[in-house]
Amino acid sequence: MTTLNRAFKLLTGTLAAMASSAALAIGTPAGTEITNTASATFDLPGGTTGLTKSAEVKLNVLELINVNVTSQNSGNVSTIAGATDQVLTYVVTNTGNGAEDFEISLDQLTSDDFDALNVRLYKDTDGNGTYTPGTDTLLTSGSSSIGLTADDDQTIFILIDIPNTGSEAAGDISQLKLSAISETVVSHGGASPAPGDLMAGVGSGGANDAVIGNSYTDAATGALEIGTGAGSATVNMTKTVFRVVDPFGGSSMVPGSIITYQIDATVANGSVDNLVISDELPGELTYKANSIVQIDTLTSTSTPLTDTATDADAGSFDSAAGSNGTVFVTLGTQAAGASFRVQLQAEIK
Amino acid sequence: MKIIRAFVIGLILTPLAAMADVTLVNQAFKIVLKQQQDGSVTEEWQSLDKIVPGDIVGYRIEYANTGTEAATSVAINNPIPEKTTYIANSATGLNSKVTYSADNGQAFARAAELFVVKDGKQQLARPEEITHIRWNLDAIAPASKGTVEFKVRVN
Repeated sequence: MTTLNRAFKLLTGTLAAMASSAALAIGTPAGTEITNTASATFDLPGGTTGLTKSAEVKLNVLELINVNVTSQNSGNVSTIAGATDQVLTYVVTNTGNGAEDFEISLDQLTSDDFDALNVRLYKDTDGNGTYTPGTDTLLTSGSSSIGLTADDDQTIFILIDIPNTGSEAAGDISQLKLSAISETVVSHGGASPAPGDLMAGVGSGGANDAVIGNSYTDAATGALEIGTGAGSATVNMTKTVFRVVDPFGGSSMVPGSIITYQIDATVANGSVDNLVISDELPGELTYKANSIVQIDTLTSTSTPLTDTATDADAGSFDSAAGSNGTVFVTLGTQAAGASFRVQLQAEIK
Repeated sequence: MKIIRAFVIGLILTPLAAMADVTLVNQAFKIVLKQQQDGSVTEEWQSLDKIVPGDIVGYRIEYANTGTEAATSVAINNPIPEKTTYIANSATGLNSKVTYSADNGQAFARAAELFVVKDGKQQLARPEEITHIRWNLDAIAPASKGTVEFKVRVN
């Protein structure tokens, strides 16, 4: 149930992110030329008609620099003392009208209860919305920048460890602020950049000049709170039908068909303890004894697991659990990024 | 002989000289609202140096009759420029009747009578649906001039 709830939260978070970026869509691209010509028709004495046109008025739309930073965590992220690789998620959106580089930096706020340890900044390189170790790119606060075209956004993660000094109490909060500022404004905006200022010669997208927008820099704060949960980690699971073999050698779902199910589980946004994958069989199926197989997701090597709970391997089948027996794969403590693939077989009654 | 020649030239020139010759000069301004010391807010039409999305641009069209006869049934047309949105009730002009089009200049009507069909229903056209503005003037007298104007917001 916990897993389901978390997966649901993750989904609603993504939806909210999509909605917020859609609401920020900004208009005319930098470098666009707006033209206008007036014309007039009129009657002349004698009944003929005249036509006249004005010269064309051309306006060049300059680059307007704006950025928006939002925290993607709905409220404080619950954690525990000593937890590692806790994740706060932010989205940086270019709300200007031209391509722009934004410098990213993070700050620990001092008005909170404790400071996080081992604070790191990552860019969501694979764009999947969750922190992927080894894939997402480490950024340096205050010097790394991200390039975004107009309307484009980028998910940024702050990773932290929670101290374990013994004094962390339930309800204690650590706040972290992610800021983004336009590099053009940093380099050309002067000592005190003001919205509306013109920066000559540094526009993008065909616009000669850039104009500092009301939001050339923006920041959002996320927070971790001790005590109310098990940390920011999530386990994502999918179950699919891998194969169906019917008694006649085909692949129809008929009584006597053997269904091979595949379950994929991935740990994200922190480590988990006591990870157990369980699959309760419905009444219409009979579990096929000793059919649990664990497949290494990197090497694709298959390892059969026995149904016995007391042996060394991770698999077991308990015919008394649930209405029609339950398959368990006990995986224990697992780090963020760990992924597992399990297959099992059942026969249609 | 000289008199006859002048007469001939006069004949040739007459059709041209008698023409009503209307010229249009179209100028764009950036519109900035400025709060005055007494607290009132006035609109300033500034020269254009920078335009970014969200800015308000005012177009001022100056018409003049440089001919010797009146031009009658004058219609000044201006499409709403691409990437801009007309600002409601901003089209003005002395002694002119302002009508709008929401179908790329096919049909024109007053704002209160301009309809578009949406989802099978007839609705009043909203400012962002207006594609053209027309100012109708009865006549422009010889050697007289005037202006009409309208405002848009850069998308």
